[in-house]
Amino acid sequence: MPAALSVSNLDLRYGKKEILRDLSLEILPGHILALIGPEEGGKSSLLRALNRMADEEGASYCGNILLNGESIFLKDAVTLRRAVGMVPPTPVLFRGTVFDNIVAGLRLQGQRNGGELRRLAEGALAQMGLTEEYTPLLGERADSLPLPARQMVAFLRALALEPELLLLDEPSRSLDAAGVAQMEEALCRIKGRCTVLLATNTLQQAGRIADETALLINGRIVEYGETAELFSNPREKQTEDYLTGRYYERASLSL
Amino acid sequence: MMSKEQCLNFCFLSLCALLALLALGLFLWPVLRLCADATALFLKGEPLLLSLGRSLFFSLRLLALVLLLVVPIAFLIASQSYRRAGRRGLRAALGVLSWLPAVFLGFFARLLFARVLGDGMPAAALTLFLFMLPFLTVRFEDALRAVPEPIRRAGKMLGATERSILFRLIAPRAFGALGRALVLCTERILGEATALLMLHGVAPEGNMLSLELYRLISLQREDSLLLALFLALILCALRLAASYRWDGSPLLASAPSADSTRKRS
Repeated sequence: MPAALSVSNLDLRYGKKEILRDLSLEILPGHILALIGPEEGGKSSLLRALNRMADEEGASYCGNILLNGESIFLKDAVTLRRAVGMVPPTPVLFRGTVFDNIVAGLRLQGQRNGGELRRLAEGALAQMGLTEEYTPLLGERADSLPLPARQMVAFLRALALEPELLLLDEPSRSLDAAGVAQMEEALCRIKGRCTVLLATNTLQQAGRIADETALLINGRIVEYGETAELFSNPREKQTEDYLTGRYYERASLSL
Repeated sequence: MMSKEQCLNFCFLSLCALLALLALGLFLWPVLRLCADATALFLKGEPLLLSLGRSLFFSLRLLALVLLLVVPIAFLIASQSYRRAGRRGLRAALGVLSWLPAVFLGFFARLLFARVLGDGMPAAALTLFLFMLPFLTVRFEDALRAVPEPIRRAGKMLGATERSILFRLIAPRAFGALGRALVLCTERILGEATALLMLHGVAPEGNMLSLELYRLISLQREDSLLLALFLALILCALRLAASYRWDGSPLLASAPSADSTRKRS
């Protein structure tokens, strides 16, 4: 079941360093929200706050995040992460075969039934339309795969857990053009089955697949709304500057 | 073309083989003579081999008991401390403990354990347990910390508990280093004499191999060289086994330190 997510007045700090400031947004179940913005703008930090991986790095929060109406801070972090999948920008695969990696999350959560594992792995492949391409690779060693395929395996591993919310942190950073197209097609296929938050530096990617888009600069949401509306008719000057590339010109001039 | 690492491995193995041949040449003749003498003595009713067998049996029983005590506790402490930011204090304490002189530890054990438990195997096992606990804990912790942090983080992202991350992701990757630590620990236990000597001296029978050697030498028996050689060979074999990379990675490849993997991540 796709989850509804609501972030209200969220501040996030690492020690004295403020990363996110007074951040609020809402995502409807099954929608894809793209987070765009310059590097160090807070996109990855927001994703890590949503599955509380930021806790591991000593983050402190103010404000609230509701997942299906329940505060994530009142939930056990392990239980939360079972409902919220995440794909980091650089794939980290475990030892073993591609199959072992796809079902790694299920095994780590205590699933032992071989038939059930196979069914869930095949389900994830089918969901992403990768059955033909990846079924012959299931017995291959995962570390022998090229980087784009490793990223897809990391994606499949997160998807095999059937998450309610999927966090993708620049998933196409290590992909070539074909890989990006494959990833976007897969995202379109899973649309509606889980809510997706996609942090990306590629505006075109956000334009192609996201229902809503939010622009984050210096830990603040500058503008947030429907993707088509935000791209064609930005309300804020900063958004317009960012979309047209003038933001970077000004940033370099101010240096 | 051989890589630099392969060349180094080849040179190292060649050197080992050369040394082994040299050692074999040096030792083989006296060993054969000693074996012949020992067999002759045994056939005449001399109890040398019997004493050797008895001390070997005693050593193995003591070794098993100590490992049974020390391995789970060292692993438990290491599994709790390897991911703590504030583990410097614990590590410093373990470092100090691991460098405590065996004489001091033996003396302490004599004051405490020997009075409560008597002079038997339990007191000896507890003494060696105290002796090995910091040593093994530090090595286990190093082995667990050498596994790259992103692996642990990836496990967390998949909703795994700390226990399942430790047993299903970290420990299998650290298997080689954990095995080496265990072999080194075994070697140190078998070679340890001072602490046990301080604990209850040398018994007329039922000693660790090292103490049995001391007893035979103090009896001024020349054939005790056989036992010395036997013990030295066991210890050398264990030390060599500990230097082998069990996970199949090259023998001389430097293990990435925990800090460098953290920086990379």
